[in-house]
Amino acid sequence: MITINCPFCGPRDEREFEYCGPHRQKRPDKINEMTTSAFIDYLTVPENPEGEAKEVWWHRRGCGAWLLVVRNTRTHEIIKVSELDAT
Amino acid sequence: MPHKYRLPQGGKIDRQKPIKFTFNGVTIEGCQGDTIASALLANGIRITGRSFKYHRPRGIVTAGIEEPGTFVEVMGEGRSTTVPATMVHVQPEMQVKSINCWPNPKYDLAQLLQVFSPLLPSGFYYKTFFQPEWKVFEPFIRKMAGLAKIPQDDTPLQSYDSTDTHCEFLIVGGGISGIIATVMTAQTGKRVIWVDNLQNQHGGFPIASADKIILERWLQALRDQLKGFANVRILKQALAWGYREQNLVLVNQNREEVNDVLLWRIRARQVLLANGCTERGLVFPDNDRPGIMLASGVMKYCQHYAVTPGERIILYTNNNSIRILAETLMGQGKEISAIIDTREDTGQDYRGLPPTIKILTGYEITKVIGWNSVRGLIASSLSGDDSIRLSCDLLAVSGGWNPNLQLWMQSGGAYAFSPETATFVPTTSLQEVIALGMCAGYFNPKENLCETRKRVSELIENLGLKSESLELPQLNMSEKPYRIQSYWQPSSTNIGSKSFVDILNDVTLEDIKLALREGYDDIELVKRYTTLGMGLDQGKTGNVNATGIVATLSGKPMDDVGLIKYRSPVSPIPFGTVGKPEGKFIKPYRTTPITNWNRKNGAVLYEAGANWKRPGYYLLQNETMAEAINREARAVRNGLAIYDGSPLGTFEIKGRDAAKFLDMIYTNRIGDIPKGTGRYGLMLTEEGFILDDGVCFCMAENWYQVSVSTGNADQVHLHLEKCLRYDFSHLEVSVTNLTLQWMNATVCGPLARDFLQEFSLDIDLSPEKFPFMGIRDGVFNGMPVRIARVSFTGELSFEINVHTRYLKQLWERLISKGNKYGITPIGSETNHVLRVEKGFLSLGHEVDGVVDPIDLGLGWVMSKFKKDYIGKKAVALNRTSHLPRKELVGLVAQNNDIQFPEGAPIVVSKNQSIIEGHVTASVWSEINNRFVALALLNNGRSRISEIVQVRNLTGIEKGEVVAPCFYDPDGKRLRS
Ligand SMILES: [Zn+2]
Repeated sequence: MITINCPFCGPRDEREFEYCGPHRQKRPDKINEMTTSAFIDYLTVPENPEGEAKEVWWHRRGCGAWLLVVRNTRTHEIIKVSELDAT
Repeated sequence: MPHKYRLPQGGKIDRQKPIKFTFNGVTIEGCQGDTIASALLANGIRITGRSFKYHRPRGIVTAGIEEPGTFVEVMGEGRSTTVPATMVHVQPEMQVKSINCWPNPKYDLAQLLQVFSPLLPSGFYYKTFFQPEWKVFEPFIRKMAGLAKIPQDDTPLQSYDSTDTHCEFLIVGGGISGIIATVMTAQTGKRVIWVDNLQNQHGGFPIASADKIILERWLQALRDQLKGFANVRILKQALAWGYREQNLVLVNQNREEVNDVLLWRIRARQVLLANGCTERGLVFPDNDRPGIMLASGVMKYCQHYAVTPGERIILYTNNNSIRILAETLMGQGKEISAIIDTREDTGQDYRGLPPTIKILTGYEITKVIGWNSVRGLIASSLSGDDSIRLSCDLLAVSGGWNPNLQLWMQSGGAYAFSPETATFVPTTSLQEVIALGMCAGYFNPKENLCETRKRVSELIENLGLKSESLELPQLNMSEKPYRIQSYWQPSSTNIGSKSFVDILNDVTLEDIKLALREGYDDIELVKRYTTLGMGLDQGKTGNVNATGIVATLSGKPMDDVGLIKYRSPVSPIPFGTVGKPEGKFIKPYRTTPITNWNRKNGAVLYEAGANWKRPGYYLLQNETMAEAINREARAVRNGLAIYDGSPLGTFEIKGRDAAKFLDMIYTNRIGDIPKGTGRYGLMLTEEGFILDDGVCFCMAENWYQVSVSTGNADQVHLHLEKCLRYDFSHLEVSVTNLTLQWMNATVCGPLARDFLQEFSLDIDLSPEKFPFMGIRDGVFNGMPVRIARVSFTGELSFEINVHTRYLKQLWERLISKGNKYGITPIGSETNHVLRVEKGFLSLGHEVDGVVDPIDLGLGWVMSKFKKDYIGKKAVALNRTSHLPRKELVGLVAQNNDIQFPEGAPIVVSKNQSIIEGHVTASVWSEINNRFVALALLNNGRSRISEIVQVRNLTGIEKGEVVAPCFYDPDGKRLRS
């Protein structure tokens, strides 16, 4: 159980958050025009780094912010927490 | 009753307070302060259990949490299952049973297995798992595995609770270094939590009696000093069992005064592990015979419980810590007949001992005499030129000392082999944690004191804090440094004997050799292959020996082999502490405003997804569950019924791009839904699996209301938000969860319209003005309502939504006015029956993460005109293989009395071991007066009217494939 330092609420317990998967590329605009192999790569080959990983967390039972969390998967150290860039 | 092996004086038991308890039905008398183990030993009871695999007689080996020999079940009041006999204090009238013995430990029928033990070789589990007929072995293995039976009544053994807290310093350990660290950190004024760890309640590294008195007096003074600190919280009777990321330590505290177990989740700035050390055994032939004990156990029974369970005592060792035991036993008037030491060079270690003790240096034990109890042994010189037979009734063994690295390893800390102490010691840490004292490898008491003080003051200084200097006591006898020489395995073994490495799990030296021969050369593979260290004790007394053996046999350095990774919990904990408390406080059950009405009116309440408690059915007097469901079903089909549909997930989607967004979320077209109507739709995941089905209503331009399955509402909410924040962040849309704002009473049945027209309502309910799938806002008897014409039952149905505060009022008005129509409240069981009759989809039944909408006959919901929506490409891609698809069909048994069980496989007629489908739902259909079922079947839609074979528990039954709809296939009634 980790503690995440929400930029809006301060350090809060993991139980307040919802893990929303690894940070990945945005859904391609023209997914229907993608080649099959590119689509399968997009769908089934997420990055799974040993070390610094980018994750998406939702402060669901808190302020509701969507956060980008950079976390070391070896040490569990949380390196950076920022609002998910909505662009 | 005089205790045969109790010393006349000393110990921390109260001889004036005898306590009677039963052990396997026999009454035993112990004293106040005894554990089950010490009471049994005092009474001379040797055989206390049977081993798991070979059912060999076993006795008590240690005096603490590391016990591998004896596990018991405590019955009756305060019962517990599968606990070490060394950890439970005797209570009056306590009933104790040793586990894994039948009919009793002395006459064990399963001991016959020893004769057949070649049938149960190492790797048995591995090899068996590859066999197709695992189920044949499973009951047998369960029975033999010998864990206490799961209690039949489900009342919890104790109550459980949990709490969270923070501190600057968390000290784990109640021994010398734990107390020093607590006193020193307490002086910083910061918040300190001290876990007076149960794990330290074992023998510990031996200390000469004279020094022990000085040390205990000094430690008591420190404990007294602690009372003056308000910043220190002391957790007594506690076990730190888990170490997680970011210095989160999990501690279970037994609070006897309130008979509960409290789970502490402690987040600490700095953790100080003073977990102490544990003695390990020596590996030699038949080293598991009752009467062979660890030296630290013998020491603790002598000093603490005033018990020496033998008269002719021999000590066996590879290190000099055993000398203190010899002196302690002699101090109690006991005679030591011999000390056998595997070291050739013992230096001055035994100088000054009386000449009556035979000292054999450079000898090892090659044979143990005695079956149910040790009677003697043969010791042979390592050079091989001499052997000697000695008799004894107690053999105390010391194979050296290991720091308790369990929590350290869980924290991610590194460790290395120290040749001087012949064990693994902590090195660099991964988190903010240090190891202290014996846990850091400083076994000698003097060294322990000095090193602990030094490390703690360095830590405090590095943190920029202050504490007073601490004066250490003068110890006189503990000058001699700890000396040890590795001895991992006997130089030879004779056939017919077993040399145990893991006594609890019956893993022998031969098993490890076999694992290495078969190529499992990694210590973690050796563990899985042999089950070494996988027992309840996690190999606390055996794992380092295992590493030594693997290193010797494979020629690798100790550090390359490493230790088997210790996992949490450090020692078994009750499931209740990790399973229950959160459900009560953090995820409470959800109820609707009429839950109390439901309770008063016979509702049987279930948890029905998303923590909602809702009625399964309503029982009238003298009614069975089936009768109740049939009565409710008849009311829906022929008359008037009412259903509390409040838990249904409801979301409002608003914004300039709302239609665009929903067109991506749903498989069908949303943008052209006319205002005031809804459309049934499916949501898929990008992988093409069905996420949810439901209805999407257009309330006005750029304003939609979406209803989703109760159990899936949280998932769908997450999906919608994620899509919006992430993939479609350019769209201007807001999602609002209105599940708890809109509650509803659903009125259904052919009389529903007539009935509702009796109320004051400003909505025209005629089918022309308010057709199926319409939605209208209005005022119903003064209450603002939103009525939707959706149907989950296949019958004419009005879902009357109101604000939460009006539901009770609405419900009671409908019920009181509906009496003359025979209005019947119905539960979710009846809803299930009715939806199966109609072949409507249920996520929990028909959707299994493999089927796609087309398989379920919902291809029509997949828009062919939309270029893109979530899941479109994946569904198309999945279908390019042209493999047979499992398609939704109806199924009726040829024998009308048969109900196919849900989940029953449909097998191929020519080869009944090949499965071509399964029953997804099966109910008694009151309207059809027969059982009906839904199933997923290979190419099912093209096989209507075919006869298939369904395997149920008793055999094969024939069933006919039909269309997946058993009632009103044209949907005339729900549109009426
Ligand atoms: Zn927040």
